[in-house]
This record gives sequence, structure tokens and C-alpha cells, in this order.
Amino acid sequence: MEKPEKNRLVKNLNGPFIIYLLMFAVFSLFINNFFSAGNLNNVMRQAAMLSLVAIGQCFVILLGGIDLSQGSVLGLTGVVMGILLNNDVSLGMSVLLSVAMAIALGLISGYLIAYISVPKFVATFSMGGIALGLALVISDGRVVWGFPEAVRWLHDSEILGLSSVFYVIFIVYLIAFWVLKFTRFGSSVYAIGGIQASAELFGIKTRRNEMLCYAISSGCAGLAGIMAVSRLNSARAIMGSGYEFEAIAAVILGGTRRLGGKGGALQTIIGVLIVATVRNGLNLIGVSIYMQQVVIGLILIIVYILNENSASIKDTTTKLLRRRVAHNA
Amino acid sequence: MANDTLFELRGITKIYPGVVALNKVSFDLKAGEVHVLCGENGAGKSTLIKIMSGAESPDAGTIVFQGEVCTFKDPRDAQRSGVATIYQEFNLIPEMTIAQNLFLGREPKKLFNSMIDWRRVRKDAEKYFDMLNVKIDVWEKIKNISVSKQQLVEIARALSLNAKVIIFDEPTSALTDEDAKRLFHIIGKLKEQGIGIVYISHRIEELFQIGTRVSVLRDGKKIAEHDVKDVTKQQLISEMVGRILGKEFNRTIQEPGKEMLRVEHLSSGKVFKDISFYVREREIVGFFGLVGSGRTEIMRAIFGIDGYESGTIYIEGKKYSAVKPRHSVQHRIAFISEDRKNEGLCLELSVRENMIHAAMPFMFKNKIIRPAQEVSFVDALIKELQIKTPSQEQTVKNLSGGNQQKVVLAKWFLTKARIFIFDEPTRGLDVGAKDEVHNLIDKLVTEGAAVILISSELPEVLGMSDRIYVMKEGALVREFSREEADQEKVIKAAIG
Repeated sequence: MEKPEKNRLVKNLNGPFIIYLLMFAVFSLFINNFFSAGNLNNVMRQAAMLSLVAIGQCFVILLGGIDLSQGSVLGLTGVVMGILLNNDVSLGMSVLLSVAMAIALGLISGYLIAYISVPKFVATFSMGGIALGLALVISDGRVVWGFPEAVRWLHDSEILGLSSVFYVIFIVYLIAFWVLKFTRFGSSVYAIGGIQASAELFGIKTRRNEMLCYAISSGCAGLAGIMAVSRLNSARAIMGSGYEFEAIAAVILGGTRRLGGKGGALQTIIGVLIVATVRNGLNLIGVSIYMQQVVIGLILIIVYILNENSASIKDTTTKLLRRRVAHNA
Repeated sequence: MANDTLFELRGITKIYPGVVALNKVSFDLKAGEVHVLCGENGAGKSTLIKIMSGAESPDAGTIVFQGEVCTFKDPRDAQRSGVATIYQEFNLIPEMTIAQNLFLGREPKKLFNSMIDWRRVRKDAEKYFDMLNVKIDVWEKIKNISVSKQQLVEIARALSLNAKVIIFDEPTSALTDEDAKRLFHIIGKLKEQGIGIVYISHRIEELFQIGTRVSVLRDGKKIAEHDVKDVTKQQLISEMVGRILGKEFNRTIQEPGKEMLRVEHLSSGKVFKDISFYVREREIVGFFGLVGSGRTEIMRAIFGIDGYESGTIYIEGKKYSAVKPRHSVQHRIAFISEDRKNEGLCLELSVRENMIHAAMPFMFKNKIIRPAQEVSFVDALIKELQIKTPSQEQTVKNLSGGNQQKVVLAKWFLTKARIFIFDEPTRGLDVGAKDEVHNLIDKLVTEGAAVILISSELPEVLGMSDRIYVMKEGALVREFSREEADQEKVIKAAIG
């Protein structure tokens, strides 16, 4: 019985996956130094933070939402962790506390959205503003630095020849995959994204689950903040600015439907790889980092029009037809 | 079948603002029977099933379910107790598989309850479809299966929820004859399993095929209850219709003038086919038919909201085809939608703004608004239509339904419309407001307008119209003159 599901899984991945492979092939052929162990390792490193932020965003997008606060939460988490470290809190404790704070912020936005019906854009956008502001206030707008050695170790240590970052990501994705696929919570996320009103009738706690998704999204951004601190060995309020943009791009480029109900962890990995590879390729041919942003934005718009529109046009027509038939037969 | 009563409703009353939807209705359902509910639009059928399914709670009366008095908090609560409702619009999630939809939120788990056991989800889903004797790939997504299969999924879901009572709301309206036959077969099986079925349908023939008992509702009251084997179609129809209501309509009947609107052979897929009719100056043409017979859709097509596939429309003898509603507005057609709150008004805006916005191009030269002029126009209309509002600036959502409807009308007065299409203009209004709207329509006609009046309220159609067209399943089936039309004939044409 698992078989047909697996087939479908492959089918769902197909489009973005093929794009990725094509891109990989083209870049390997035409860009010097692209296909080298060193560079590919680089892609992975660049993708690390994004992959964490994106998987969090993926949960929110799956249920039909969007989280615009991730970048700022990332920065705030990093700054909080840095300040805790500088106040002689142990590494483990600072990580724990700062991630807990990120989750709490997500719970707040989630609560506002799910229970108080604050529009998701307003809630997460404002939360982003608040988080960025707080980070700037407590760091006084400066770089926080001077941490113990152990911080860098988080990022630089290797297990069996692979960066520990890789393991963190692997574990996070494994959990995400499992949650989405094998828990009632995960199944309900898809249902809510499918049709919220129906999901409610099925007896699903739509509000609670919606809130939890924002907490997950924010928590993942927090984890990425920790990763950023250990990589840079410093923390800055604005270090995550714009990350939500890239995360949303990755999630959607991977094939998760912007309006929810369809997609998942595997799709998100592909999306992350696409974004990271595009960036890397552009880097190698000397496109400035600012211009890269423009390119990714353009790609996103084009993919969205191709993907979503054709699907949604089809969807609405079938829906309309069905309604028509239902009303008139 | 066993004689135990599953469901018993006693003296159920439900009052909505301005309407008594149900007036001391009693209804009972035994295990293993199909109890059919029939009645005209607005007779109270939907309200009754809403109460049975927990979507609404009654204002008075008791509900006894399986021997216990109960109140359902919400549909979920009713479902858990064993009352499943299958509405015309299904509650399924299109992107998910059949099996997922069946067990959503209560998937069987494995490994110490830590994860969903998809193998069992599949097996259990198959089990329920086996019970229905239906072969189906339960791993297919809902969006890829036909409407009739989706309905089966709903039935399987009801079974999996251990439903004792299944309520079907117009289940055959979206089915082909063959699918309907299969559905009847399945309903027969459900009966054998001792499940009680409440069945609502406009198609009277159906109840003779599957019904055990039938209850007739009219104007929120229960009129009669029969064993299906002891009743004839004729008898049911006359019970649904009842006597002609004594209400008077003030109509000034005049000689109609020239033809304003003519429609020839208008068709749009299955929605309506080969529709031809005309409307003249100084006459009201009523359109009667059951909900879903295509009346509204024709008017939407004429007005340019939805398209049509073939046919011709003439306005004052000239060929016309609306691409967008604004073209129709320019041709001085007015469309008063049945959905006043969403399509007729901007509820958050003021009386003045609502009145003005359709008429902007007619009122002001050079596209520049002249506030003083605007205010005087609006003032004149508020007086003329006797709209009860503290000021022009009152937000429309704070007005009563009748006054809101008058604001909608005022909007079209300003566009100097000559052809008025009214879709259920008095729905949800109280008696006084209804009268006022009727008088306004009559006034329009005496002043030379041509009016199309769609209504599900037969007395309204009979009382107001000069001619009546009856629609059934997308086709115009009869035309009556004012003199020959009576309640029974019209209903018969619409249902028969």
C-alpha cells in the first residue's frame, strides 16, 4: 500500500526536482568551479540556515498562512543568545532560552491569528517589526560578540567527515517529514490548508493547530539564529533581515502550494537547493548579492504564475462547474 | 423493520428575524425507514435539517435522540452522537485522498499511538466501501473523482462514524439517473442495516421509489404525514401548495407598451437551455421555479455577470450582448441581486455612497463629482422612497433589511434604468417592508419600466406579475397569463 503513495510523492516532486537537476547540469557545464567538492560544500553551507527557516515557513504555508516575522525573529534570537552568553549563561542554557523565546513569539502571532482573527499579514508583519525593534534595543544596534570557543564548535565540529550542521538539518527535516506524514497534527495541517471550514467540521482543532504552526515557524527561525551566531561568532539584530523572503521563495519553488494543502518537507528541501544553487551560480559568475535578490524575486513570480495560476484556474473552473451542476441537475 | 424510534422532534419552533421558519413542527424517524421531507422553497425543510444536524438550535421544542432528550451543540456534536448529514455541497478536502478524508482527525495509530497507521487507514476505508459494495481506489484524491463518488465518500464517512441517522439533502440533484439508481440501492442497504434516513428532495417521483413515510411542510408548519404507499402525487402537491393565501397585492394593471427586452434561444451548458422570452414596458414578468432551476443564472447572463454559450438578446429591438455589467448599466438595465448584502450593497459604506456609485457616469460630467449636487440627488431619493435613515451618511449595515433594499433600488433609480431585474427582492424582509417594496415595484411599472421578478414565493409571483414564466431544471416549461395562473397550476408546472 505504501507503493502508490510513494509514486505520487515522486510525481509531486517531479517539476521542481527536474528544474533543480537541469540547473545543476547547466551550471556544472557553463560555470567554472561550480562542480567542485569545495563549491558544493559551500552551497550546502549557504543552504543550511535557509533550510531551517524554510521548513518552518513550510508548516505555515501548508495551512494557508504566511510568516513574515522569521527574519527578525532570527536576528532577535541570535542577539538574545549572544547577550545571555556574554552574561555567563551556559551555552546549552542560552540556546534553550533563546529558542524558547522564538517559539513564544510564534505562539503569540499564532494566537492573534487563530483566536483573535488578526489577519496573518498584519500579525506576523507586526511581530517582525517588534522582534527587530527589540533586538536593536537590547543590542543597542551594535554587533554582539566575544563568545566562548564552544560557540564556534557548534558550527565547525564534524562527525564522520560531515559538518554537524548537516546533522542538525537532517534531524529537523526527518522530524518535520514524520510529523507531517505520520501524525494527526500533520494530517490536520494539510486539511486546514485544504479547506478550513471543512476541517473544522471534521472535528479538527483548527485554531490550536494553526497557532502551533506559527510557533514551529518561529522556532525554526530561532534555530537558524543559533546557527548564524555560531557561524559568524557574533550576533546582530539585522542579520536575518529578508530571510523570510528567501524562505517563502524556497518553499514555493519546491512545489508547496502557496495557499496551502499541498506540499511538504521533501519539496521544501528541493526548493532550498534551488535557491541556494541559484545564489551560488550567480555568485560565481560575479552577479552582486543585491542583484541576486532581484533574480530570485523574478524567478519566484514566474514560477508562481506558471504553477499556481494554471492550477488555481483549473481549480476554480472545476469548482464552479461542480456548483453549477449541483444547482441545476 | 424494528419499530424503535431513533429521532423524535416535538413542537420545534425556530424564529428568524421577521420570519417564523418553523412553527411547532413534530417529526420522528424510526430505525430502518426513509422519512421524506417535502415542501416548497421556504417551507422550512432546510431549517428542520439544520436543527437535526446541530447547525441550528431550536427556539422551542425538544429533540429526543435514541430515547434521550438532547441538544446538539454543533454539527460535530451531532456527528459524534450518530447523526450524519450529507449536504449538497460536500464537506471533503479535495487535495486529500478518499481514505484520508474518511478518517481525518481520527486516524488509527500504531507503535504505541505514536504515529498514524496508514496501512489500517487504507484497510478500514476499503472495508466501508465494501459494505457499500463499491469498488474504488481509496488512495485517489477527492479532486480526481466524480461528484457521485464524492457522495459515496460522504456516505462511507457517515458509516465510519457509526451514524444511526443519515440526513440526505437533495442527494440526487447533482447525479445522473444511473448514479441516482445506485444511490437508491445503497440507501436501501442502509435501511436494512437499521439506519434511519431523512431524505429531502424536490423530485416527487423519487419519494415513491425509496420513501417509507413522507411529511409535508408548508410555511413552517407540518401539514401532513403519510405512509408513502397510501398517498398520491396529486395529493402531495396540493398539500404542499395549500389554499391560496388571502394577501392582497396592489397592482395597477395597464396596457403594456413596446418590447424592451427579448431573449431568444439563450443557452449555457447544463445551466439553462433554449430560453426565449420577452418583457414589455409597463409590465411585470414573473419567473417562478424551484431554487436551482436556473432563473438567477439566466438573469446573470443577460446582465453580463456570467457568460452564455448561444442565443441572442435584444434591447428595444436592437441586438445586445453584455460583456460586463457596466455595459448593461449603460443600457439602463438594473439588476437587484438576491444577495443584497454581498452583491447589492457595500455594507460598510454610507447610504449616500451606496446610492451614488452605480450612477457616477450618468450624474456628473467630466468624471468630476460635485458634492452639492450629489447630496441633493440623494436627499430627493431618500424622500421619494421613504428610506428611514438618520442621515445620508449612515452606514448601510445599520439599516433594516427593507431600508437596505430601498437603498439598492435608489441606486438604480439614479442610473435611470428602464429594465429592472428583481431577484428575490423581498427575501428576508418583514411583512411591512415587503409591502413597501411591492408598492415601489408597482410604481416603477406605472412609470413605464419593464420588470422581471424572480421569486420563490408563489403568492408574490402570482400577485405581482402580468405574465408568469415557469422554469424547471434549466428550461422554460410554461408561460401563464395573469388570468390563467393559479397556485396549483404553477407549482405543478415547476415540479411535475
